[in-house]
Amino acid sequence: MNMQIFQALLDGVLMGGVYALAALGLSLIFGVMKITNFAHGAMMTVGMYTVYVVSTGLGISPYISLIFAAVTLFVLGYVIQHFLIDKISQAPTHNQLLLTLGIAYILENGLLAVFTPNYKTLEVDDFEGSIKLGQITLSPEKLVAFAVVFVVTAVIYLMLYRTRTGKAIRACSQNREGAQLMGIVIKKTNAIAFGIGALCTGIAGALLTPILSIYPTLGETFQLKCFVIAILGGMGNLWGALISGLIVGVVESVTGYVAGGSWSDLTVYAAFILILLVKPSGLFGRSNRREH
Amino acid sequence: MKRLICVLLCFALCAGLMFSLTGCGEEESSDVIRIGSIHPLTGSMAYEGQALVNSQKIAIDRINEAGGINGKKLELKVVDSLGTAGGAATAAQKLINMNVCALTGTYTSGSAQVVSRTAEKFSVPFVVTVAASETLLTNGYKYSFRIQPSTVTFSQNFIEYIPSIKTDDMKTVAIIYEDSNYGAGIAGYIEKNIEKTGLEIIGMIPYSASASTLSSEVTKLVALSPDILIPVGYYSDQNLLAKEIIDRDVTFPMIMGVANGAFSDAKFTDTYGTAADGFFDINYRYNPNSDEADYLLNKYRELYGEEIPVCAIYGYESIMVIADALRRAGTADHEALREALAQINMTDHLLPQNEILFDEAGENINSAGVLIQIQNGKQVIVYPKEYAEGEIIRKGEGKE
Repeated sequence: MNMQIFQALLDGVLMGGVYALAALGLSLIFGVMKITNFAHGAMMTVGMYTVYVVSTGLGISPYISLIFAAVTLFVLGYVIQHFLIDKISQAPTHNQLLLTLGIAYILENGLLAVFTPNYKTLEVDDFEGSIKLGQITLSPEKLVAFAVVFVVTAVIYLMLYRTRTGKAIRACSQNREGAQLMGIVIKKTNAIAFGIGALCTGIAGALLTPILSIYPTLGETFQLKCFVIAILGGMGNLWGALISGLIVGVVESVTGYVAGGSWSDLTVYAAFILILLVKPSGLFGRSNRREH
Repeated sequence: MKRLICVLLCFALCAGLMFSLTGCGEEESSDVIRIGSIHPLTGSMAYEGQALVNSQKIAIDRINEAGGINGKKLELKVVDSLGTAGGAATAAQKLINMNVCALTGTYTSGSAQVVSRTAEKFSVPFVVTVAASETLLTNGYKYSFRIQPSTVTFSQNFIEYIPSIKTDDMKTVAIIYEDSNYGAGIAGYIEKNIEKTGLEIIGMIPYSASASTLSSEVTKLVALSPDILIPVGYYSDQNLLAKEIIDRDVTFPMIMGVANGAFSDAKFTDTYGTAADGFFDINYRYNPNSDEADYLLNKYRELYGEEIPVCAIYGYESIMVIADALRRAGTADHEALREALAQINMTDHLLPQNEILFDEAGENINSAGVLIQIQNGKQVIVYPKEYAEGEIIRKGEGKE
């Protein structure tokens, strides 16, 4: 019995890691541009289809085609920010919101048109069955996903704190005018930040592809989850997003074990509301006042 | 420059609007009979929606190639329901404005409810393609008909079939079901009637169809260790469940889906091959002895490059039923067509049942599910005997 609760916990942590990576992208984009990306889920689906197409087309492991997904999504994010969102950066926030929503619909319906609504399932030949440790069974796909999340997060962290571009991104998120005065090209920095945010969700999608059956509107499910996680962690706070992702994963999984998955959403959102009531800026969020 | 773009955009919008409105004022040509089709073509149920429409088109083409109905050609008018009740209501209205002789749809029960209300209001016959909710036809409506077995029929089939399928040492049952009307409806019915079978329910596990993982639910099932596991859900969630069961090498003496969205789908066996061997499902299916079913299966494969999803046979059959009624009515008049539908007695069809007859409520009296087992990576009907393609294969291994 205890072992099974432990199994549920572990499953939650593994899935939570993937949620966390996607939410981290959303949080980063918000932190820098102060816009909420409604196309985040759809971008994740683009990542999934990239992996699916490359893997089945070239007959290679999804974990190699993951690199294609990362590059594709970075470029997509960069282009969206550079050619679309940036053009209306002076418009009211809700217009920018609607723009990203529009992009979401275009991406989703584009996928529908190209791939049809048919479910696609990618089988990973690298793995046979699952790994057993006593009574605990672990899915190799989820273990690899978690490891990749760990590596990608570390790389992004190093990039943000050790490289000039990363420092520029952080500077922009802290004080836009100040950064501009120091000679940082805001437009380019924004585009790179959006690209990295998109890359995160793309990789998360890529990691989920061997686990789920994919279809063009699948991203919607994750869109809301990402919001909750990003807000819980404090919008713009990367570590917050990571930890909240794990929390949401574990709550979901343990509720699923105890009462059935029907109760997962209810429990997650109830916890979400409670936490917001106690700490309106999220678990790890700083007070919003400084931004204005 | 900006103003120019604005003006151009306005023009484009106006043109688009006019284009979309022309559909409403279309001249009614007397040599065409229109049938309306309301299915989800976008959203998470678009795959099934599209498949239903595809098979309807096959039926329409077949009828037209054979000379149409009383000298008139059939034409399918398709409007996206968006998978929502609101979308379906708008679609129904739009199609009625296009002068369709009958409506068909809608894959989801919520949408079907709304369409049947609209159909009643405007006195337009409505033939349900797929929508399994037990309460759908309980409003005393006169214009709605359903060919497909309802959730109650499937659940009844389970209760009827299981005593002759199970082995004597099987005592306990756990149901894992998606928590909407459909999954919860079936699970609830089985729970209420389980005592008739001599089995006992030891676990009811609901989950949301949009779940991205069912790991912990499977962990729970392992803990419960039932003799018979009944999974009820749609394709993607049940696929998730099956993957978890197969990958983790969890075994149950019997896994028997009831109206399972995945187990009876050809795509499911394509994915898992023989790994899913032994899984049972009580579901709708075509009659394997029917030539018409052969025709539909081959045509679908030829036109769309894949096996027909089983639910889509009802798209084809809905058109055939309407065509049969149109032939007898001799007119596309709504009232006459309704009358002809109500009096249908159709023996020439592709379903595993006796003749199609509608009762007062509009339910297909003889509708039934069949028991399917996955054998050597293929779905095989194993029960009832008259439609069986093979024998039940018992699992050699017991509970671990």
